[in-house]
Amino acid sequence: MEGLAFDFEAERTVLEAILEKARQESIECDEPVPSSSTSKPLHSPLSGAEIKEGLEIAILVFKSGTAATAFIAAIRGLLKRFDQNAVVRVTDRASRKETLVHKSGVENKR
Amino acid sequence: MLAVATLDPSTLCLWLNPTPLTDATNVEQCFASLDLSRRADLSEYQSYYSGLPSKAQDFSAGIASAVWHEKRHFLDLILTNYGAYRVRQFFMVAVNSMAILKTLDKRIAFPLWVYTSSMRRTLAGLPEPPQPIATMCREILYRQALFSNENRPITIQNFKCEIGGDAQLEALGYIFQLGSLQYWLGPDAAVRWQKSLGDDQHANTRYRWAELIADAYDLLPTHTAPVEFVDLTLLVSVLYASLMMRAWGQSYTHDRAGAINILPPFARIRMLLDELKGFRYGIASLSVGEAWELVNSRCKKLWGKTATEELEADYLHEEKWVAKLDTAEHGARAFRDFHEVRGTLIDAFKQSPEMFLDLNRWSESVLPKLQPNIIMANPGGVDGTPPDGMEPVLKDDAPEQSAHWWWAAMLGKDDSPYCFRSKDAWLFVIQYLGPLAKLMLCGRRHELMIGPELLLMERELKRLKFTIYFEPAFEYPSEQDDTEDFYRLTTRSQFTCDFCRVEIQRGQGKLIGPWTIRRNIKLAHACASGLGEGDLGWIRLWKDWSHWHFCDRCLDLVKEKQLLEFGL
Repeated sequence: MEGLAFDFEAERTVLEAILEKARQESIECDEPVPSSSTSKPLHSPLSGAEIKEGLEIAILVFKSGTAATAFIAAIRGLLKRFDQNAVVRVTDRASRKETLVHKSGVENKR
Repeated sequence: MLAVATLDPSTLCLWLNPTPLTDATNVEQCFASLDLSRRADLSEYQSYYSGLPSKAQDFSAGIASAVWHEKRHFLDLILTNYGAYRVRQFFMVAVNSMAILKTLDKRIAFPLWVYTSSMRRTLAGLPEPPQPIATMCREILYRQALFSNENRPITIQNFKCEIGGDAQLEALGYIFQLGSLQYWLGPDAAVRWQKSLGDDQHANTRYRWAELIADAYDLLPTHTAPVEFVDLTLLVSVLYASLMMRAWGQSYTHDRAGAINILPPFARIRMLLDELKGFRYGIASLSVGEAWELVNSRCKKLWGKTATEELEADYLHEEKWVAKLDTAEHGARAFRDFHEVRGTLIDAFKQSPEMFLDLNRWSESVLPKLQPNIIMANPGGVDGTPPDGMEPVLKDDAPEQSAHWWWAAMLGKDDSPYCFRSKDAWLFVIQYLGPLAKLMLCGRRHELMIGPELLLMERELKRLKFTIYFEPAFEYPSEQDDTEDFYRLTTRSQFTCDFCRVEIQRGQGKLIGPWTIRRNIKLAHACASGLGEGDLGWIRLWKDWSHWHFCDRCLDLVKEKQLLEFGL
């Protein structure tokens, strides 16, 4: 396996759409797995975490940096089908550099 | 994670962290409330509470009832089929962890399921796993998918809610928390506590979804005058029966969808509610015993077995599993202890379901007897050794600085039929097997009260000459912004910036979590410099896993990476 590997993390339905697109474009990808902790402790109501969709994560391997950048940019269009707050976290597995993709834009985290 | 009380399903320990609260109230009141409310004799807490001034009463009731809420989780995780399945998620890994370590060639990947994916293995440079590990990884992934599915939110009456197994446990925790407040401290205390939660928390669907759904199905008789209250009798029985899943792969013969093997709580509650649609009862017209009988009969109709029969069957399957464990191992001994307490609880439940499902009877007869192992935690680290009667659980030292400290210690507990007895086995589980199972299941991506919980286990693995590989997304806990939690917990409206000592009003500044600090080398350097010169600063930073307060100005400096010039 050669190429640049990225982790794509999003809500299940969003990630399914991303993987479908990746397969259509013959991008190598792994099966998604739950990334939200399924072993969380049980809190009392003194602590108030909000309810969120569970997240899943999958690896996509691109042949070049240009291909990765183009694919990440194209995800924005795909997000239009989903909830206003839909977001995809893309992490370069080599450098750990994170990018958040929203409907409105792409944000480099670190 | 900023939490005062949590129940860790991997060890069934009740973790208490009173430090956020000590910012807000009289420290003695805070500790007394925690200590007295966990006891087997609650009359002492009752008289302590009644001697407090009104505002302190509300705060104390909040603390005490949080302990009671977690004790309810302790009960339900042991007694119900889903709860026990959730606990076995960890023990299945924990009791096999030593064998797994022996199989691997001094290099281990976390989470363990990384071994199942050829792509992940290639990227990590890992070999194909031996067959037993591959089998275990498939089981881990199967359970994770099930739990993830259980926790998917749905919309009820325009509110986003979870209704699966964990949500059912939370709903029971909330309902019985209110019940115990009412029983031990009076209806006024319960009303005042609900009001003290504020509108956001009062409407928090994480705990109150069950009322919404019961209302939608017309199963929640309401009394409006002179005071408003709802009758939760049938709802509690529905929740309990829904948690009695078939966790051992037994097949269903009577479900509508055909052969479904496990039909978890998410599916059970929906089918049960549909089955009960059209049933009506007036307020206080249905006894708890009658409600349980009714729900049991509907379970029999739907799935061929009552919920009580499901419970008995689950216990027998568990018995067979326990019989295969090597009881010389700490993990197996702890789980056998769990299984025995479960047996005692099941006998009591079968004899009198009312004792477990009726709010008053539970509060009176069961709550005081529930004596989980309790861990007192302080993320900031406490110098020296824990006081007499407390067993250190997480501790460390820095001999070159003649320093030693502890982060967590187990409290002594009152004797009871509903407590674990193999103390040394449980201590081993809490210190080693629980953290190791967590690493194997989800790497470091957990909600942790004390960061070193996992790091000390990693250090132990390194001592055993293991090198550790973390799948990148599971290398760190995902920390959320805890600033609003801080204000809610402390009821304060301001804090002091830990860097420039300026007072910050609510709405400004942020609370930064310990992992965020440690993941940003410049920020970690700045924090260490603030704590002391050279090595002393780094040792103090290793010791101090508390959150740090930042004003907006210091936060901007952090963002601009200029903290090193900030004059610390």
